[in-house]
Amino acid sequence: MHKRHAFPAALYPRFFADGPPSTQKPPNLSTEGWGEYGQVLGVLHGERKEELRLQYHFQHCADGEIWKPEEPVPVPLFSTCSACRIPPLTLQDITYRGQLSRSVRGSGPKEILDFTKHMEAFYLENFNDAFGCMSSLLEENFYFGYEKLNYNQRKNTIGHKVTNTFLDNINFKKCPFQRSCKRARLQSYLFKEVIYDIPPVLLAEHLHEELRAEKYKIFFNSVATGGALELFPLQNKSKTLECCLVYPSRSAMNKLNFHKVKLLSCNSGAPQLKVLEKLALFELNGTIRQINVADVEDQVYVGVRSDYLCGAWKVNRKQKPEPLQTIQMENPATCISVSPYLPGELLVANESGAVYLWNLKTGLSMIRCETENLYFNAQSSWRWCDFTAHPRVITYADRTGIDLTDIRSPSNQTQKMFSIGQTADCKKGERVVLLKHLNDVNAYQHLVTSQYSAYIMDERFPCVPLLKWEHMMKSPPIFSRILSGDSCKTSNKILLGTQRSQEVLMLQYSDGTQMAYEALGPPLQFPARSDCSRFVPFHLPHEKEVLFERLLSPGAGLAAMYHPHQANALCVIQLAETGDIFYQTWSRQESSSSMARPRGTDASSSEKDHRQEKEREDNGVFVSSSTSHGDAPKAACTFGDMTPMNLTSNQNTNVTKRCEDSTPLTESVGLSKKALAKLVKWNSNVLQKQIVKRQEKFCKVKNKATLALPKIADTATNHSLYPNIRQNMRVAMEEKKTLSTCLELPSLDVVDIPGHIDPSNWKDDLSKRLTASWDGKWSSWWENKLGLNRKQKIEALRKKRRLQKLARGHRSPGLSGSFTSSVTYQSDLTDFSDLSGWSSTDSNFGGSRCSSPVSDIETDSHKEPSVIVAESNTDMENVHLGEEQDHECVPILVTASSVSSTSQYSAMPNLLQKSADSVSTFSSVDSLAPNRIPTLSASKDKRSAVIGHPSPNPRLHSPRKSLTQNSHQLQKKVNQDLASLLIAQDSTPEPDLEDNWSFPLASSTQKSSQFSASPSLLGLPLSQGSVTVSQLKKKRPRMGF
Amino acid sequence: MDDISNEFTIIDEGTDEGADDSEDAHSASSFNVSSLRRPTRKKRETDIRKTTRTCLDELHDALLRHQWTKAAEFMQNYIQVLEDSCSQQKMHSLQRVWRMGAEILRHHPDATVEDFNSFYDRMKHLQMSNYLKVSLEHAFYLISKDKIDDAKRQLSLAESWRYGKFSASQEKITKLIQAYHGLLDFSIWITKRNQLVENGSHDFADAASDQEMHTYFRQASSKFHEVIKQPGVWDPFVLCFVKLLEFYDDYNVAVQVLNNYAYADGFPANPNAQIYLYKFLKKNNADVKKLVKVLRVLHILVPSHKLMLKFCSLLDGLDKTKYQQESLKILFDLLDYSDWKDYHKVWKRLEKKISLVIKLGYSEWIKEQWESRKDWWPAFHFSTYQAKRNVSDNLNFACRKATIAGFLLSKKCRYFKVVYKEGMKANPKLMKKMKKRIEKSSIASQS
Repeated sequence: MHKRHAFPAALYPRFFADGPPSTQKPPNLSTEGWGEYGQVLGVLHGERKEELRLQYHFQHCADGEIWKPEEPVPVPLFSTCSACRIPPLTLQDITYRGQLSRSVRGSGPKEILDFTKHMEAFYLENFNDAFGCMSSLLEENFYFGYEKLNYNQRKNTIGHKVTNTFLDNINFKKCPFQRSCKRARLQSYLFKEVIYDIPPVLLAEHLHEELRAEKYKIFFNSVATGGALELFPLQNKSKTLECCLVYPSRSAMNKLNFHKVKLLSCNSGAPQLKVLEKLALFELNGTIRQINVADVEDQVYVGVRSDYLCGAWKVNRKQKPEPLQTIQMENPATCISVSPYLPGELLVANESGAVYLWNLKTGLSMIRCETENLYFNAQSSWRWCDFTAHPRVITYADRTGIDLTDIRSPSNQTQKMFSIGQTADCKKGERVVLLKHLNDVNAYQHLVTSQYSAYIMDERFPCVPLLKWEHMMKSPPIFSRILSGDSCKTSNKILLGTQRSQEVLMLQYSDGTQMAYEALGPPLQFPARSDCSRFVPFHLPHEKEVLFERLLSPGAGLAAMYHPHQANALCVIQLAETGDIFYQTWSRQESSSSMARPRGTDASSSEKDHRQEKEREDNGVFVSSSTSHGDAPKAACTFGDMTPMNLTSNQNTNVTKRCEDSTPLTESVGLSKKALAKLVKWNSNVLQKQIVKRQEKFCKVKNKATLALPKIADTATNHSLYPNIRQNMRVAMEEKKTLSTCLELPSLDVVDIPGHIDPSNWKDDLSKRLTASWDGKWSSWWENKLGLNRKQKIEALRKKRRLQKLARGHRSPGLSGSFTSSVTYQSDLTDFSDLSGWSSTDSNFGGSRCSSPVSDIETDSHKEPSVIVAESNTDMENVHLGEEQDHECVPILVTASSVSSTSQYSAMPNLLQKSADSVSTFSSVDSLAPNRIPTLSASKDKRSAVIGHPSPNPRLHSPRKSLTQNSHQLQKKVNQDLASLLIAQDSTPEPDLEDNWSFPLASSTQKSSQFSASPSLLGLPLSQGSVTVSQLKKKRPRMGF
Repeated sequence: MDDISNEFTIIDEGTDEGADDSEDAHSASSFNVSSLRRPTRKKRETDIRKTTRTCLDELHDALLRHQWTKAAEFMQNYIQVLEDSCSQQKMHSLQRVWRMGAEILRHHPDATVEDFNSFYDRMKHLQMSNYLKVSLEHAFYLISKDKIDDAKRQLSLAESWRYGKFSASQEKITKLIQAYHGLLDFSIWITKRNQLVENGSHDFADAASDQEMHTYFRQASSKFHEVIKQPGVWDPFVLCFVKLLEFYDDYNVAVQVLNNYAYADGFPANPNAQIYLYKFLKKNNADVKKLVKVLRVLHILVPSHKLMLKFCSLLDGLDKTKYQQESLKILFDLLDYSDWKDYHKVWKRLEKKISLVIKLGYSEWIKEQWESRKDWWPAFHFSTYQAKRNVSDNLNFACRKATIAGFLLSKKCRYFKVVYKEGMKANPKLMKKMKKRIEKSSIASQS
């Protein structure tokens, strides 16, 4: 037994459960293939007993091989393209607007198909079927002779002139508001029951159904599964450079080509694919959908599948392909695979659900036939089959899962190998799209792909995937190639290709003979064919359109091979539905130091890059301007710090420092001269062959006469008033320019945009009212003004606070658990001393971050009164604004630093008004004299003005204290009274808190500190950052839950 | 019509957030009345969503193309998606930020361990439903950096974490976290044990460290015991658990654990479970019949396993005649598989076995095995190409195979003819001997 076929000695831990997949709908753009280690395997290593140690293996390893493209985009292999004259069907052909509404599933009104056009085409092209009866009935009323008709005849006969003009006009697009159109429409309403042979409703229904099916095919056409491109070495597997490329060509893709190609290794290191002679060409009676190749006993068998026909070819070592046999099926075939064990044996599956063993000597024999789907009803007739390690056991797959079936006794020898379900952690709506036997890597293993994931299954341990990737591709991968790393001692590689989005993805995994398989590195996407458009030289719009259409055509196959002599070179070939073959070579970056390091950071590689770049430039390389990142801003990896959380200044400097260190993006963007020449040649060939007359046919209006100016010479005497203007006008008309450029009219002055108006400058009532009404709050202003809504406000405030209180009561028990995690690793505590608090005190991240000026002052002298004033100020605002804002969400959404909020405060007069109102509501509750209100608001105004510019030494502001103190006392009273009304039981711990505080300026600050604490009773969050407040805050709920 | 097309088209249209956004509009439109009432229900994509979606597309592309610095740049801007208030989207975008952020940090040239730690910490607290998963990944990261103590601390924090009701998936992750915690305990235990072994068994004065080792043993074994009860694949945990039990000479419990792992209901048919049981039994000199029993189950699961050769010799050792039929079947089964095709040892054994069985007079056993193989073995093993290749590679081996071909197919078969013809040039003596043997006893000529 070969070592590579061994079963891994230990597998990654996982739960095993049977059942349907999860019901959660996966997000559209998946990112689940990244940032994960998956599972860990701890394995004991060591020879002697005392040297045993646990070695860890990760299911998804971060480091993989680094591969770099030799050319930035794939280039065409054949410059003489077998141009596809039939343009591929696009969405625009089927749908009305060229884009589909989301409700593909439902037949809602959004889904508008352009079937009027298709109906029109039917009536015009199949007129005999459409109007046969009526035309024979009306035959006598048409006259095609040239003789004149008499009056009576003319009355109910249509002459040839009328019909001719009508038929001529059919080809033109007509204005729908034309009078004749109206007449035609009316006639059609009148006669629609009579003139059609096939009722239009019936026809439309069928057409609609057909168009819908076609539309699905544009998104995903399962007939192409497997791919129609194969590459195999011509001589024995050992080290030959010559390969045979098997591909379809011509517009209908019905010619089977066997072409000899050779991988040339250049001195510069980039191997090139060179096209040698064509070995054979066969014309088939159908579009080639899939080509499968297997090497058996020194001969290569080629299986070809088209819709109803399957054929087998043989290529022997004399390099002469010969056809062997063809079979025809009643149902469309969905799969063909050639046996790698027995010469002349193939498997064929078709849509009836049957799988046949096709022996070239004995003919077809049915192995298994399932009219239903295997594991649940997926309403799918797609079937697939492949070989396994045992030549008499095959895999039988449909959209729901995969079975192992014994050819010798299929009725009782089936075993489940894979099914969509919980066992493989499948997602909702996941389906099998491709199955491939990994014979070259490990004969017991199979690759299974779905639209979300790629699995590696082992038939010795069915149902449980050995390895799973989320491939994150935009459409389901239906082409795949396996490159075994065994021969060149590298990792195994899986290439996945998609149809519509043209993606090609490389996944790497280690060989799993000793340990379980490890996925190495994240998936790598190869450039698509459509990326070529960047390098195609400038074209006229209609040429561009043709080219884009061609480049964007869906993929039809994928092939890849290592360079036989250089294991670090890889050639990837892609086939398009239009028959174009593009290839790209990749080379492996050897140096281990550059692992996980982008190009350009490594000194030597960047130097090399530079040299290559220069070389290319010397050769006259076309460098795409759209992709040059020369002026790209410098990158930094520390995006984590940009999350809306507290950033310490210390870290900030780190970020900036690292920003400076990191290198700008350097990517080789040049296309080599040779490649560009190929691309340009292919391009011109395509244009030459494909540009048909695409201009829309319109009724032409002759405008020569209308644009001609009457001769000036005749009327010069009459119109000598504006000779210059007339002259200019004539010149303009001759040159077909706009008149304005010739007339030299004076340019208009640019009027500046009026400056920003600050309504807070207007203090009078009228202005305030107008400002309010400008904001749409005119009525509320009046209500406020007249005090009509006072009662409502009080009620609302009370209710809100009661709810907040209740909510707080519910939440508090769960909190302690969630904050056990706030302890960070002790090993990092030294570095994160300033961060360590964030999880506990700052854990309502995004919450009001203490503005830097204040916090800077504050760090060492936290007993400064002014800081607490600042604190209290924000809190007070919160109190006032609390009527309208939901404080639960304030800490998350608004970064309300004290400074910004005060400035905000002064900028919004209506807010000010509101706060004053809210205070008035307080006063009414506590039966405070309303004449205090003006003082309070005035003091607040001043305070906000002062605090807007905090000075380094807050003690300088002592004169302010009396004012603030005054207001605090007031406010305190208000709050306390209200609190005692609402939540009397909470007021008891308050004095304790107060007692614990010792401030240098006791009399004033104690009160203010108490004030700063008092809003907590009302369930309002404080802005944080100061140590003093954080002590208090331990009593409060954090993070908003 | 294939129902898969529905699934695919939805993906294909992938206008990400916008699509999420219009999801409810879509569900509403399926209900006709409501769609009539609100014909213009489709919400306009807000600016922030538009920019974040574009940014996400770019970021996705950059990551797929391994442009890490560029991706980091986009990530800096993508972070603003967290300010979007829609809860459904927030969940998705948090997930994305975590996944992509972690991947970028893994590959970015300037990323440090501190970056990782703070990033993981933030991600944990941003998304409570994912706390456990992120914690586990964080622990894995620390393990990969060889910081076992830190990883252990992370895991114990995650173990004690509680928030609301656990969903089913969270419960599974809790179990895994416990198990990995056990694994780390085990790794500490093993270093302690190594120290003890190095110091020499005579030095038992160090009772304290011995005691500590025991604590780790208890912790690890209880955690392993807990997780192994659940149906699943627990190869590393079972191995470590058995190692622990072995050290404390708890043979019976170890066998029980392995038996349970191999045969309990609900567990998948893991070949490794049988192999571990077999190896453990063999190591502890268990009865041959027990070993045979285990291997018989393994033969049903994996007929191509390399232990099957061992199985054969065990059966031969038990009884010369009683188990011949079974061992003959095992050898035939092995040769069915392509990877054993050119394995000389098996062919040699098969040759001996066939001649023994013929000598014993049970040639119908061979016929029975041959019945299901006669239509494809000639092409698979005994083709002209194979004959030529085998002769040129190793004449003795070709001769051995030709003998079997002769036994099974008579001397007229292609393989035999080619080998005989080619072999006569090199070693006529051997060839004649071979021919004689076949003429004497070929099952094909008998029938």
